[in-house]
Amino acid sequence: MQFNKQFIVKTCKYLLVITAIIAMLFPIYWIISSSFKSEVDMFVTPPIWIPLKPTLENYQPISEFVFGVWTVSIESFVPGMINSLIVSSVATPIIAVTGALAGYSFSRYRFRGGKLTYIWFVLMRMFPPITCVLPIYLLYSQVQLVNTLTGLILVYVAFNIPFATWFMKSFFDGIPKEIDESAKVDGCTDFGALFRIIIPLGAPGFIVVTIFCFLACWNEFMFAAIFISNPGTMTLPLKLAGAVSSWQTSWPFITAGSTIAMIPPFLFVMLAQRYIVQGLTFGAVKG
Amino acid sequence: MRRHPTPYFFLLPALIVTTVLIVLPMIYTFWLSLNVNNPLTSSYGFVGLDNFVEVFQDPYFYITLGNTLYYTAINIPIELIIGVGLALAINNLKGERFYRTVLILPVLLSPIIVGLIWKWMFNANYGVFNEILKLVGVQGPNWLTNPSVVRIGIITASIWYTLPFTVLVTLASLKTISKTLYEAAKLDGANTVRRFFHITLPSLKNITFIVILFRSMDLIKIFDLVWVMTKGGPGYASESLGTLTYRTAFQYWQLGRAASISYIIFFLSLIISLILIRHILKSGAD
Repeated sequence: MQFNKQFIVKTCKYLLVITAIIAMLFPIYWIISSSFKSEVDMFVTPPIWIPLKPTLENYQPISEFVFGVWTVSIESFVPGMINSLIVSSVATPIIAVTGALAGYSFSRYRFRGGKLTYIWFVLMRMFPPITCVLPIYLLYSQVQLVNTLTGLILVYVAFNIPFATWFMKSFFDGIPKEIDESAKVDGCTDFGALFRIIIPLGAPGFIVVTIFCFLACWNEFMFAAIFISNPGTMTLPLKLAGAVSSWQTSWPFITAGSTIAMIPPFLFVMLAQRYIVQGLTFGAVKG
Repeated sequence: MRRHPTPYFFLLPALIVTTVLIVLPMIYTFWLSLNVNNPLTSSYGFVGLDNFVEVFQDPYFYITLGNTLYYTAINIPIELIIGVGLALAINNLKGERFYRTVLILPVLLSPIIVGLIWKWMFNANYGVFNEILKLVGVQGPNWLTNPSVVRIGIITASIWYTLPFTVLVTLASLKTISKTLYEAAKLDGANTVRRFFHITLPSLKNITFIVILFRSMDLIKIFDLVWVMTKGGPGYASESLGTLTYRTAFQYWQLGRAASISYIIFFLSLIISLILIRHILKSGAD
């Protein structure tokens, strides 16, 4: 009897978990597999569950003839991909360094207004970005930053700094103060202690911040949609969202582009699963 | 207290950037909400609270507010039940690490990709979602074009998107429950069911509130998913406060009015977060 009950509970657990995994993975499988179907196969009913005749035609960048050479058209997702890469890889190190410096000063120094400023940084994470966006748009129109990647990078830096600062502060708090204090006694400067002791010890926190900020920039849509209207500076999410319209939605383009947009998150999950779990749960469990 | 220029120096870059691009804009938006600012008609000027009065007299605003609260109120309980259930099932099950790895994926994707995936699955003519329903003999509605189910369609995508977060956080907090509690209860003769209701569930109370806090902050300002899946349509059936702000600002160019709607979003999330934080602090105290 006891054995039976345990067996039933175990079976239910496995059934639940397997159902959940199928439900979580199927949508991802479906968009990836659709991207390898020809345009005809994509729209048949009943659907083709497994593409047995995979094709790369949806990945073919639209090319155009400019100044005597065939080049990748601005309409295809390649320029969007490049723009997204530029924005994310420029913004991420700036966020990580700025956040680490601020986090370090909150964690290691007691100074006038320090506590209050820290609370302010935590609060800033709760501001809905949409409440800040209109003045930034007006400012950008004044200083010619609309439609530029620089403008986008600046906004991404600003809106990710509160997370980076808070995370790094909590992370540094976990490193015993005695370590850097003894380094200072031994003649290290403040900067020396930061770069020689704290940053190497804080590397795991740094990795978490880097991954999350990179993905935040890579995935961001709202700011891009507001500041960028020129096809040449559009990021990948913007390009893909732009392919949806009420009269015609280009699914071959969207499925292929979405698959490409999923590469960085997939890579991070495979290479740094531990850090991702830490980044996702840290805030909630620490409170 | 040490008097030292160093901490200020370290803080300076972060402080400057966030002040210029977050704090000052936040303040300026409030000023904007008290003004008419329409570049299309070139009308500018101070109008006091007129924008707010107009917004509160607009019947569409109430539809939008209703939708936003609907998203929040329907999404969170379902996500919590599935998420906590799943976390309890996964906890200490063989292959836990593997399940966790697989389950993380959706939450790291762009909301735009998530929206597009589900728009593709929900497609009226060749969407795979209804094909799957057909396999079990159910004729599904047109999820994104039928005004009575469109919000459910969006909530489905939203739950799929953030469920990994809820599961991971719940799992992490399950790991913090001390084993001695269970052993003590076992010695006292409490069976599995009683141990579950008297130890496991109460220990999850705090984390539940934190999940509710995080998720309601997200859902009150929901924009990307709605925008990419339906653009707020059909009609106003799925419009959220977020998409209404965007539309008012960048389609009608009524910047003053958009500012006032965005401040309503801010106040809503402020009120909800204050209530929840009070709860969390209280339950943390006992």
